[in-house]
Amino acid sequence: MEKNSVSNIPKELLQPADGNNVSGTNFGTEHHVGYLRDAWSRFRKNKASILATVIIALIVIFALIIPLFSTQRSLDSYYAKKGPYIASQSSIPLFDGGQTRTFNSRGLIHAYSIALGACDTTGSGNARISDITSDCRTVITPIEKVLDSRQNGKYKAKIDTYAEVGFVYMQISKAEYENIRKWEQENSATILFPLIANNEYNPNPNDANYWYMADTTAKNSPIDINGNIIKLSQNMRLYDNYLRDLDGNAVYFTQSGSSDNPSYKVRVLYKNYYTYINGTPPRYILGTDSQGYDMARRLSEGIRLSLALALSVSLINLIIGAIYGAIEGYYGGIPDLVLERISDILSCVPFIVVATLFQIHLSDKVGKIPSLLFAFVLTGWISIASRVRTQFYRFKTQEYVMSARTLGASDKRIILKHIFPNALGTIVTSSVLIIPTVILNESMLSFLGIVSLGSSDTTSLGTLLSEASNIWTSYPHLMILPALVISLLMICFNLFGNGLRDALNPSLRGIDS
Amino acid sequence: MFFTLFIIVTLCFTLIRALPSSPPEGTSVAQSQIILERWDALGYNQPLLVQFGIYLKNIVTKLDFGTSWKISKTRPALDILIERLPPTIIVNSYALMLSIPLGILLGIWAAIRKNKWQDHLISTVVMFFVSVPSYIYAFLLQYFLFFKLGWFEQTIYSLSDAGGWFTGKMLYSMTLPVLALSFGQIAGLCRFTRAELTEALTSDYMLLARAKGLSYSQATTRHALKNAMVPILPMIISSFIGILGGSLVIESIFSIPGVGQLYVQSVQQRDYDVFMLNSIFYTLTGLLAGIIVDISYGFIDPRIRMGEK
Amino acid sequence: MKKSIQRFILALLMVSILIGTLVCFSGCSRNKEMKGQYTYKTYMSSLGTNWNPHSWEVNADSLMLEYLSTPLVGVSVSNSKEGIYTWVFEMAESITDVTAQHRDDLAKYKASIPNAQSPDAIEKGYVFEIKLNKNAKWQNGEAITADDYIYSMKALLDPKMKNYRANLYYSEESAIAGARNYYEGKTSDFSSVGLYKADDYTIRYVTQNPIDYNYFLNACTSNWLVYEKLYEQGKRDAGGVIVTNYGTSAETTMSYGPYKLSSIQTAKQAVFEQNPNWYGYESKDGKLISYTNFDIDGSKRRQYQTTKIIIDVMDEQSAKNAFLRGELSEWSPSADELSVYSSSDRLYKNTETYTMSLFFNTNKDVLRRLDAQSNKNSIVLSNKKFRQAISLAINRSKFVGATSGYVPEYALLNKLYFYDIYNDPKSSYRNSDTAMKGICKLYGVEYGEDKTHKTLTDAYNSISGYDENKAKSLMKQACDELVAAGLYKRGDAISIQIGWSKGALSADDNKQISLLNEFLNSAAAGSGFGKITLAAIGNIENRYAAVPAGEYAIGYGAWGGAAFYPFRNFQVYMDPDQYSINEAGCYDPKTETITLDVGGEKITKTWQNWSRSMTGAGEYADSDIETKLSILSQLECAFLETYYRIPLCSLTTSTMLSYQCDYYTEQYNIMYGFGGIRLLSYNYDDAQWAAYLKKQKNSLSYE
Repeated sequence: MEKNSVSNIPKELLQPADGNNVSGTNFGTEHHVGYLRDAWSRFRKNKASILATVIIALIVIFALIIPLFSTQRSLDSYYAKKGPYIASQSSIPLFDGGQTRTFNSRGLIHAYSIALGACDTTGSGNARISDITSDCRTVITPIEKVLDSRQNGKYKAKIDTYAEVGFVYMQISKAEYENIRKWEQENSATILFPLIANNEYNPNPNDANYWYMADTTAKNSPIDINGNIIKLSQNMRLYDNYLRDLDGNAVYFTQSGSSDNPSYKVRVLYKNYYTYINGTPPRYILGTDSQGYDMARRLSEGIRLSLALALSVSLINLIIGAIYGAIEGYYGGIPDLVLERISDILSCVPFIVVATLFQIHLSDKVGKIPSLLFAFVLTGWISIASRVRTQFYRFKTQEYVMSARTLGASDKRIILKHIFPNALGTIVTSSVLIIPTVILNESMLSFLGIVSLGSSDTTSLGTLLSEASNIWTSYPHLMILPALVISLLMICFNLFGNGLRDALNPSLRGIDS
Repeated sequence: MFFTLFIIVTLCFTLIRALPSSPPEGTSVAQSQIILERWDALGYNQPLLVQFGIYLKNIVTKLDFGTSWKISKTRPALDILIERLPPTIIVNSYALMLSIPLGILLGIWAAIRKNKWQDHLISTVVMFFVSVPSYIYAFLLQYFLFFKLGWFEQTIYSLSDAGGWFTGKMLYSMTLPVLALSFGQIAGLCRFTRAELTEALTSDYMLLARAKGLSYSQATTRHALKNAMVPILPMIISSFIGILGGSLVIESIFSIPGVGQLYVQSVQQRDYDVFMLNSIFYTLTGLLAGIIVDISYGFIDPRIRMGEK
Repeated sequence: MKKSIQRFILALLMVSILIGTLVCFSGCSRNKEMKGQYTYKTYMSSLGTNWNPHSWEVNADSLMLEYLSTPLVGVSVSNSKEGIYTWVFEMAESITDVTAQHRDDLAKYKASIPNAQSPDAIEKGYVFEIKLNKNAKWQNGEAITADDYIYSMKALLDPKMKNYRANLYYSEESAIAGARNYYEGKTSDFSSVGLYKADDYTIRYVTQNPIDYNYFLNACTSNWLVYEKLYEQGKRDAGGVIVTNYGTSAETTMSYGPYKLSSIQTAKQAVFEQNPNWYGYESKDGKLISYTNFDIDGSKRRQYQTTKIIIDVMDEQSAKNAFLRGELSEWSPSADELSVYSSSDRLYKNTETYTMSLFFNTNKDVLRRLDAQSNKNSIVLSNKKFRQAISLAINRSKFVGATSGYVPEYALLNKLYFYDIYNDPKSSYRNSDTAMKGICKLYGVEYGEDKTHKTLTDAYNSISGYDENKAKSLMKQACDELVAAGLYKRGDAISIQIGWSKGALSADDNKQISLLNEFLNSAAAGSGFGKITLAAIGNIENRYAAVPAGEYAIGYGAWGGAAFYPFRNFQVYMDPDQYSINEAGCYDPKTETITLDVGGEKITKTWQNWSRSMTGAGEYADSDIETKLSILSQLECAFLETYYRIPLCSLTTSTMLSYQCDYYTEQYNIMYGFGGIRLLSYNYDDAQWAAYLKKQKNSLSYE
């Protein structure tokens, strides 16, 4: 390096760092970017947060729109726990309500018998398996023959779980009976089928699917008139055990009750009966829940309840925490000491204990949801309050606060106009991040059975999960759908909260990550 | 601290004993008579304050926290709790042993490779594990790792099957609950570490260290890491104590006869004495955790030790 | 440097964990394979904690007791095809009725003699001589003698202990003469109690009331033996009562049954192994073999083949997983899972005796008070027509269709009650003509040549308990009556809380409650009643007491059990001195009377006396079966007609059995079930089963 005298550096050696002529450049400082605009642009750049917001919005829309589409009139318990269903054997494999199971030959015959019985519209009892055509409501489609653990032959088959419901007994009035007969003729579909005799060939008088003669001592195997067990074959024929009158005609109803207003016991093919009552064949896009309600409807109710609960908890905690923290932080001294002690003590109360006790005590008096709310709110505001308090401590010694006070601003004005907006970022973020915690805790409480928010018109996501917890391996959709929704909600809220925190953090202003 | 404990105990006691409690049913009048007499003999019919006084006196003089009525007939509540402590502590210790190193390492790595694909990957996975409720992956673990693949046991072994709490067999059977518990903790720790370390890495003294000539890894290890550990260590310590609470759901799914399961049972069956003792226990551990964290802050962060000006 | 050291240590830690796991992989199977061992693995949701025969309280406790004790007399199969049972003398070599030879005992112990008879004319029913099995031993080898029995009964009835199960011996049908006085502390002389030693292996049992021999044998199917030393050692004062920790852990248990308790870990696992000192075992090739001392289907069979029983605590889902991997020998599928396994060969179903019903508190003052607090217009429940309408409005088939595992019921005793089980195993009360006639009359169904139903059976089968039209008209009448009495304002909404369950409400409960609401409102449409809302309340400690106490207007619960002598069952509804009556808020059975037709004569008694009349010292206790049936059926119908209690459904249970073992018979019998653990036979011993599982890749299918 050249040895140059520092005091006399030749001008030519000095050049501006970057080649631009700096003077006269417009840095855009007249264009004032406000806090919120700045936050919004930072938020927008964060792709994950945008995605999360979009998903949350979609879920909320789903929750609000679904009730408008629900076609169900009332609780339909025959179709409980069924999978998603649009049409039988529809082209979309997941939506045909089918389940692949293994059947022994007895079970297979029983499944076929539903289709046989449904084809037998005249009550003659003559249908054979080879007669079942696709428009005769195929219930079961065998796939292959397998050997089970004991080397017995079993059949792997796909069964339509909606059609599996088969026949049920109903009690209807005479007028209803006439209506059904009329509908049958108009729509050329059969709903009413002959009743089953209550004799020794009937394994279960309460089950309307055993219309064939069965041997109750041989695990209900189908038998023929001589008592021989019928084997499975294409030409297999089942011998009907219909209730017949003295002339040998099948009986379609028995009367009970008073003679001027009789009520009929009938046997109906449930799928057609459903179509008759509701106008359309069963169509459940997401299946049904464990009680029989449309799963989509239950999910929307659950989402609404969970979100409403979480939002209100969040809001209430926000308000209480903000006020409490502001008072603590601003006044300091003795109020601070006392209030701190109180929140200290309250923060040590374990949440589970509080939630349980309140549920037991108050749920009769004020309802389950308010008592749950109360439990959340009791200790939830503490973290917000402490954050607010920290912010207040940080800012209340600042110069501008002192000057505002000198100028005569009241306490309230200083708190609200000068100090509070600084804390806004952290407060909003923490209150948003409370939402997933609330959802999680509520679902945990419902799952453990400590609080049960399910009823006929509302439910919560946690209740759905707890209902599914014992049976989900047989009915996976009962668990998968609510779990998916909860997970999505939580992930999205977390991402949203993170994005919000980054966006609202003024110290990140101008920094390009 | 004892003041807080006292208040909470009073609160819990009042709320529980104030419940409209009726003695359990007997199927015949004779049995109901017997139950009523025992109920009376144990002092449940006396006014609340008297009951509370007796309760406190029993605790202070005899360390008698009451008798269990439903869970384990006429057995002292303290015995039951002590019996249930080992499995909870062991499972959670294993979970911590697994999750602390993993969590911190992952967090460090994510912070170092900030905004590169490693960071994004880890952050997404972490987000996922933090958001999904723990019982969901408990079920999934049980189903796939036990039922379908048969690699692990779905419930922990009993003492007689495994030969003791600390044998290898017991550890093997605890794999699934330990996994289920650690996912959440790894995720939490990772996120926290990453946040703290990132903040430390962008601070001025790091710049100074680099300017002075330290390499990236030297600067990180000697300066950033130490500063980042300051808030993390207390968190680890508090989770050590927090583990005593036990995860209620995990315990019931994996049949771990621990404290959490005891709590759920005492709620469901309304076994008041056990419930009280359990609540006191949780409160105590929470308070202890708080105190130890406060004290440890003093040890770890020299600034606090010197006092604030 | 430091970082790499840190990394190294961490890596070491993780590697060691991994190695530890892998090591366990190889040697970590749950059961050690052993040839000739037969292990029965089952599960429960919670283990018993107190199997002291004097104070056990829950089912889990009694299950443990079953393995650890042997009754004086047991029941098992004699002919499985015909369903014929036999009494099996176990701890008792024989039991004979020696009343005729020991008439002075009656006076000595102050037994109750029905008024009509003189003590000298009594031939049977009071004094039973039990000759004890001389081979019976405790688990530690000590012999069991008459002294043990006497000591145990003395401890059971100890007035300072207030044992839970004491009531079986001082107040139920096989009550010991003089026991009540001793239990209540009125006398401290145990020799005034009618259980005494005749010699070292003979005891005599004097009953307070006359009892039929078969029913006495039935009473002897539970045993009261305890081991004196451990019992006394474990005694302590628990504030006013003396309790003992006998039967709470492995150290405080002394078994005298086929199995002993090897270990128990609270809330986790209990292990039972064969008790080598049980009198029924003989040792052969180092194994304990046992054969029945009675004939089953013509010959003596092997019994208690099971060498080890392991009971684990696990939840439903884990149980299913374990069962399908061959780690459990049995599994009870929940009603929802049943549809997949309904045709399975390995599924065994049976109904229980419990009939779920709605019961009311119809006291007007109570209802008024409740209306001021938590109900609205529940005063309508005081009207009998309204309650009858409720019963007829409920479509029980639909109600049970909603939740699986229930069957509809229309009467108080379901078909598992037998009126003469010991002589006629097919004597189901529900299927008897008398009972059927009674129910038909109650629901107004007629039968005959010119009626809709030709035969009684047809008529009975057509009953569904559901008649919406009649319900509607009854609702209308009820509304008119209530309005006329000024109790109800037309069109007002009605909202009533139902004390539903002890635990939290489940989805099934919600389903049932919403169905009930649907039924009621549909029947009330157009009757003048406003909207009816029933709300189910869970988490109630004791709803059976809460309803008569006036905390709820309606309760939902069941009575069941005691299926072999239905003639005394109605005491649970009508005898407040013996049982806590659920319907005590509706009527006073001690003063209200009812007239029944006995053999053509019209007799009037109080409800309480009617319920007592066919048992113990009651006047009809010795009448012929036909008379008793007639009284029982009339009593049932009369009670149903008050509509203080409305039956809805009863429960069925199902069990899946693993391929590893088989029950003795496929036909369920109310007396001996499917054969029980006594006759459980194995297709594979433990070693073979492990090999089989390996071949099946640990995945079994049972459909």
